[in-house]
Amino acid sequence: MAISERGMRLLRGCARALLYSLQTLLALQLVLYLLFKGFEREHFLQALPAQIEPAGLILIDGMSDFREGCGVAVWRLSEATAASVQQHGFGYLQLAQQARGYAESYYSYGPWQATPLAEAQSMDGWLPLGCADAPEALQEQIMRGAQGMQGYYSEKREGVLLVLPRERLIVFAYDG
Amino acid sequence: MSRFATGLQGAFLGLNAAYLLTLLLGVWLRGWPLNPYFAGVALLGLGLQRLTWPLLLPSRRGCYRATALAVGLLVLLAWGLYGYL
Repeated sequence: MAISERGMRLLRGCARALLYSLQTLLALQLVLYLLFKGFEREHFLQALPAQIEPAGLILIDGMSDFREGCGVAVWRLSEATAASVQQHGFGYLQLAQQARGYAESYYSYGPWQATPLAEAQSMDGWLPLGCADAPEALQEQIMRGAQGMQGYYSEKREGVLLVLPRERLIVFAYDG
Repeated sequence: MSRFATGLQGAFLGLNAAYLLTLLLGVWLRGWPLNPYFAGVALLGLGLQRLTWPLLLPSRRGCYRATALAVGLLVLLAWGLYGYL
């Protein structure tokens, strides 16, 4: 049975509509994902105390379900902050008690302590870092710093902020 | 294809191609991590451009290229700011 000219036009129109809808759906997903990545980056930046200045993002990665999650945000530590921490140690860090962008107590940091970080001493690794798909070299660098004696960390509810001036890294780890 | 639809097709091309380029550049430079699902979405989106290319009017291909370039540069700028700002 031959399809009439009108039928062919209708068929072509439907195929094009399907194609454009699929393209729009794919593009929308990608745009929303990129917007989410921007929001996520800003969220982790705002969770850092103002005294701890990053100089670029290295990695944000983790695993999450509907409510809970674990992972890390790793930033390069700025030269100025690294120098201040190395020079003044706790004297400088004791000012860094609250996230720059959040006033809630959830984003308050506890007293600063010197590494080694007890949680990172386990043979199974450090859980938040295990949740992230971080390059091996970066993982080794973080673990070396967390287990070494030249870094500092502060705990908050469901998170740890690790400052490693020698490695020039800031590691914000969350679990919960 | 209307001028608006042509521009939109260019935007799709710029978005998908630039996103895939950032993943490639991510091998050497800082940026968002590789997400296999969205890499697939971008690849499929780019593949579908082959089907829409013949539908573009030759006189509007300039508009297609211009929007592709503009959106692509926007994605590359966002990627640069993401890793380095």
